[in-house]
Amino acid sequence: MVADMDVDEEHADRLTEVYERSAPAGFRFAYLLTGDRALAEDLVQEAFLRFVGRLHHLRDPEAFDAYMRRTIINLSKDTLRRRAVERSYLERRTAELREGHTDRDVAAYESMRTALLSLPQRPRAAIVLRYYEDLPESEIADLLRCRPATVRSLVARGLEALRQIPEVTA
Amino acid sequence: MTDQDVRAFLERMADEEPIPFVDGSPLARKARRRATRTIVLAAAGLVAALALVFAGASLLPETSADVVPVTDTTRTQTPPPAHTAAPGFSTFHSALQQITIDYPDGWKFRYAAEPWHEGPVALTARDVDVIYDPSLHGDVYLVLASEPLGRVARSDWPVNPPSSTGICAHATGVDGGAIRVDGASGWIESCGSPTAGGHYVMVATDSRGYLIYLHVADDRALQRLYDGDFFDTLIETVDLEPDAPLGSSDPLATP
Repeated sequence: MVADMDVDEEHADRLTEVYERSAPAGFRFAYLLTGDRALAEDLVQEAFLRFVGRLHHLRDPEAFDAYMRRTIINLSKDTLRRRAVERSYLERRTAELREGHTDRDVAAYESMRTALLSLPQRPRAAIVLRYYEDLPESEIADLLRCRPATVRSLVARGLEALRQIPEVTA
Repeated sequence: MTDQDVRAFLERMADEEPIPFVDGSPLARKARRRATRTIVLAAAGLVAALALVFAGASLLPETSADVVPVTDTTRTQTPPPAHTAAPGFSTFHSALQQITIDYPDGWKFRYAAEPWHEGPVALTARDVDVIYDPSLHGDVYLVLASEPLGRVARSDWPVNPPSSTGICAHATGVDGGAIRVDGASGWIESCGSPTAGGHYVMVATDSRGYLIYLHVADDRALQRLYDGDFFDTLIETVDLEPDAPLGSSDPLATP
């Protein structure tokens, strides 16, 4: 019995360690996909709960990183899909920022941020996975469950949208 | 804008919020409790399901597998030889709509009986091709329609379906963007409404405009399953064939 408890404790410590090591990167990734701090924290925690809940941890605790990315993508899609309200808010915010900022760099950054968060979920995820996570096309295709050619198309669509920003093109 | 600009921007945005304090211990305990609960509930569910199967499966009413009131056909029009469906998918080719697309194995299809008149894209419409899951009783179906551009310039082909089609007519939220389908520029959009969700693509070649619409009933489970990713998977298989000889409607499709 004592030995079983030791094994349980050891496993709990291992899970804690895995989470604490992976959560910061997961938070940044989720934040880039959602632009929302609280939501990003929730997504990372939910990804971990699902990872353990579906017993993946028994097979390979180290698999959490890969599982986390995929789960965050899926959860963010569920959360953000069809959020027309969010989009109109972002558009309003951009207009306010354009009026309020004379600093060209700040205005360009805010416009890019808004443009990124206004992208449909898949091109947005493709851009983040390609340029922030630096993943190869094959891995992105696996995460987004599509073909590598589609990844190229999604990235191109995302970049095209970002390049439409007046502050960037000017 | 260079790749480096995009990387720099993403790095800056990622650093915009401080990393929250991470204490994994409470979360690990919560996760383990949830895992335990999952196992218990799964076991209870399995027992209940087995009891149901043994007790009353034979009492369940038989369901009609098909509510499409028009003639179905399993006789395919021959797709282009270069088109090969992925495992789990079959290929549908329409000589009338001049398009080829893959669809999930097990779905049925019905050819249009006449050219598209920009009418409603209902399951029973006679002027559109329909591919549908017979087990879902009209809740999920794919519609293919096309028409010659005539004097309309390719750039004037709309990104929104004509209101006469009824697509996204009462949308409460949309999510869309530009897309390329078989090399042609178009627009892809998802919409939700109190009565139905759906996804559509409007795309035009130099000579022909196409509408591809996936109807999904107002059911959260169905809308999760037949989501934008599912639609994208189908759209990736599309071959537009505006220069192919225009086929006539399929005689078997006439009621």
